[in-house]
Amino acid sequence: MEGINQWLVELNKNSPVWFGVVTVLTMAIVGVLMAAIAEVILKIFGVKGEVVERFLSQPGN
Amino acid sequence: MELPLLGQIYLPISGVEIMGWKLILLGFTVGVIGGFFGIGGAFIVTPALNVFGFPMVYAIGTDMAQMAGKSIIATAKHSKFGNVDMKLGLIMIIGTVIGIELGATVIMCLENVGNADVDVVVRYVYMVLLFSLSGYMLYEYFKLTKEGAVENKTIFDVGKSALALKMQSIKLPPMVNLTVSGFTISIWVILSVATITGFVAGFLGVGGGFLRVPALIYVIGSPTRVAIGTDLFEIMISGAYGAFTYGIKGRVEIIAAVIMLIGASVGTQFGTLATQYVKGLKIRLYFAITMALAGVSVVLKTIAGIYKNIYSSDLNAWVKVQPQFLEWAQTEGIKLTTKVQVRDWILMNKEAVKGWFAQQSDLIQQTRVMETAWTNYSGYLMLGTAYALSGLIIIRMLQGINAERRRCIMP
Repeated sequence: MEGINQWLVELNKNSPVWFGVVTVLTMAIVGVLMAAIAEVILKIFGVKGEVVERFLSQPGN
Repeated sequence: MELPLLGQIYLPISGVEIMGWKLILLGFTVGVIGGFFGIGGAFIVTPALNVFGFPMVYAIGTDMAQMAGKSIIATAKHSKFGNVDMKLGLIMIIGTVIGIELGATVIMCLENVGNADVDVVVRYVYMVLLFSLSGYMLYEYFKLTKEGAVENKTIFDVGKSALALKMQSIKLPPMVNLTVSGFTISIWVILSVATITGFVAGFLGVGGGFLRVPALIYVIGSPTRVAIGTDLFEIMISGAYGAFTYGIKGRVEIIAAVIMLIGASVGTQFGTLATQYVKGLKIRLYFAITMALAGVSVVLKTIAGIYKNIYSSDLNAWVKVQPQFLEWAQTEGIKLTTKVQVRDWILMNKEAVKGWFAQQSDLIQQTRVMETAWTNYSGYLMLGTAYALSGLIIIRMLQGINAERRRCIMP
């Protein structure tokens, strides 16, 4: 962790463009990875996310 | 034993120490709300990070970065449900970029003229917009609910507004067939709407999701769910661009953004899923309440601004003669206007500013205390709203999952 911190500080100071690229890539990779994991978990629990009209027509929904 | 990421975390770029669980919870909360309403949620994240002790200069960039990652997840999920109108989203992006640039240019011109306090003007415009949009949506919700009760029928979503029908009747070529939204419309209408909402967003210095979603519903005529999914698609691209530009300026605390994204990725899934189980009309009700509370939060921030005005000119004058400031302004802050340079330097040099306050009269010190208190009230209001709202959305989601399961068992 210490090494990563040091590398980020150096990159931030010395190569702003690369720091921008690393920021976007990190966010995209973590985002896609987490989305895939969450998708698998929802599949395991059998959640499909289908619109249930009868449920929606109940009062309060 | 302390769990990784939940305890105290050192953020190397801003030099701030923060509790990891706070970042995860904030990310989760804003993920739920963002996935549900189709907004970036900067109006929640920025003041909340500030309340947690995060310097404002890094709060915006960090929020942009986590927003980019979060909207990838939300867009993918909404796309799976058929809620993303890519064609509409891509055209909207062009208009939004033009509008934001125009809005930001107007702000810069006003600041250069220097006749009026631009921040105050921006804040009042923001308040009027939040309260009027929220008021209209609340009025519409109660009107339609009443009509539904009289006719004894359930209203799932509002049909197209009179304005949207008028816009769709404009036959100015080229016409675009939006299959996901289910209508054909002139490209110029979409570009105009996107440019206007982008202009207001650029003027206010916000992402503008809270403007685009109602514009997509009421002016373009998209169904509520499609408006949400399409706006998230737009946020995905604008968020990535924002993360890159803030990254170049060194204003992204990447470790904090990743930690927030971990929470946001779960929250976004929940928020997106909940849109499938809640009527479009109800989503608008929640949206209206959130905007009204955001408006109250801006009022509180304005009160804090009144206190700040008492001492800010003296403080700014002191900052401008500090050798450290002059050195910083010539190097890192060279691309910024003097006003922004002073604001950023104050935020990044809290100890030096504290020293200045210690030398001031009791009145000034008391004023500073009041300003901080009102700023915190504003931040806590947004944070409380976000927690309560995300809790409500999760309850709705669980009820929906339960109903879906019951239907599977008893077809």
